[in-house]
Amino acid sequence: MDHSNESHEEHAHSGFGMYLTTWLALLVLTALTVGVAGMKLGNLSVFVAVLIAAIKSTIVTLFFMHLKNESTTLKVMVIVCLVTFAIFVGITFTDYPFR
Amino acid sequence: VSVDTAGHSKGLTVHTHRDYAGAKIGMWLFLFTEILLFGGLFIIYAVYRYQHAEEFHVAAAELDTLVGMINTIILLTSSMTVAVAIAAMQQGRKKLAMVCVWTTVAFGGWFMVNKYFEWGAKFSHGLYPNSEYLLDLPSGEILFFGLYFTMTGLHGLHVVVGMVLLAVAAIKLRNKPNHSVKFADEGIERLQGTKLAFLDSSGNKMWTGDEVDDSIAEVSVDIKYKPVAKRLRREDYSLLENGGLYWHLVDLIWIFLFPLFYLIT
Repeated sequence: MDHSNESHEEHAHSGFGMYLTTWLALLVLTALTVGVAGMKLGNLSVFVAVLIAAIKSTIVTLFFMHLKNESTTLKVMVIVCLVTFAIFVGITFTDYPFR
Repeated sequence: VSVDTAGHSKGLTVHTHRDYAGAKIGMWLFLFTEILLFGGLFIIYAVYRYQHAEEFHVAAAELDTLVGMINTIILLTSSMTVAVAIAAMQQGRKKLAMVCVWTTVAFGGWFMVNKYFEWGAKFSHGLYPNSEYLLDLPSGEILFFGLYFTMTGLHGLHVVVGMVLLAVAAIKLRNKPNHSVKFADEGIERLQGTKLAFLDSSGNKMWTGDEVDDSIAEVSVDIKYKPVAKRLRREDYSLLENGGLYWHLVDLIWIFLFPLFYLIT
């Protein structure tokens, strides 16, 4: 029926290394979050925690979810979603602290 | 196995409409609604933490950082295994892909077991929504635990949904890649008087069936191919890809939940 049983062998293992690197980077950043939380950074600690989480989620989105290789349309859609959320956050925090 | 239809080899290919790009964009749109759902909860968290900073710190000391960290590692690893599963599928390595998908589901189960013991410990200390012990705490701590149970609970629900989705995707992939050729209604008369046969790769007849007479209403051939890259179409495993996207989102939410609940002591 088909004689291509071996045709994919040359591609075997290609690409898996990238996922391993991504995973290791995420583990390092997790260790970093835990480490930073142990330090007494005061108000800065929330900022650092959210910043590291944002970096981690960017890595997950770009590499695990393949957003890096997606069309511009999809990338723009993701940005629109994040900007929408940023507007919600912005409106909330220009309101609450001044009540 | 090929099918000899005595000169009439053109059947009606069963056509199912599949739209790979549409399915993926649809999944991303759904993920956006999930981001805004959890995003709203994170805004509530931010406002209450701003108002009750001290009480949030005290309440967070009740949470087990180690369990939170183990669960973080479990979810990050499971995100990798589902990503590898999809990459393996693209390379036509279906067996490896299936092992990776079921590993991901097992990691999800492990996460939920940890969650069960974690919540169980809280409950046995009298810490559960609306408990007497909880309602006696300062309002900032009540808010913290309210958000903790709501957000990690909703997230846990997403873990279970993701496990079911990935399991369904794996089960649906069992017979793929396949191809179905059907002779029925207008196609069937072309087969009248012919015999079906199975040929091996050198063209020898391995099996010859009865003659197709007018009592036969339909002849259908279901071919299951070896899962090689060339035979696997993206549409075959788009459910797995979209299930994978959902699983990564579950991981993403946990990436924010972990430091904001477990690491603020």
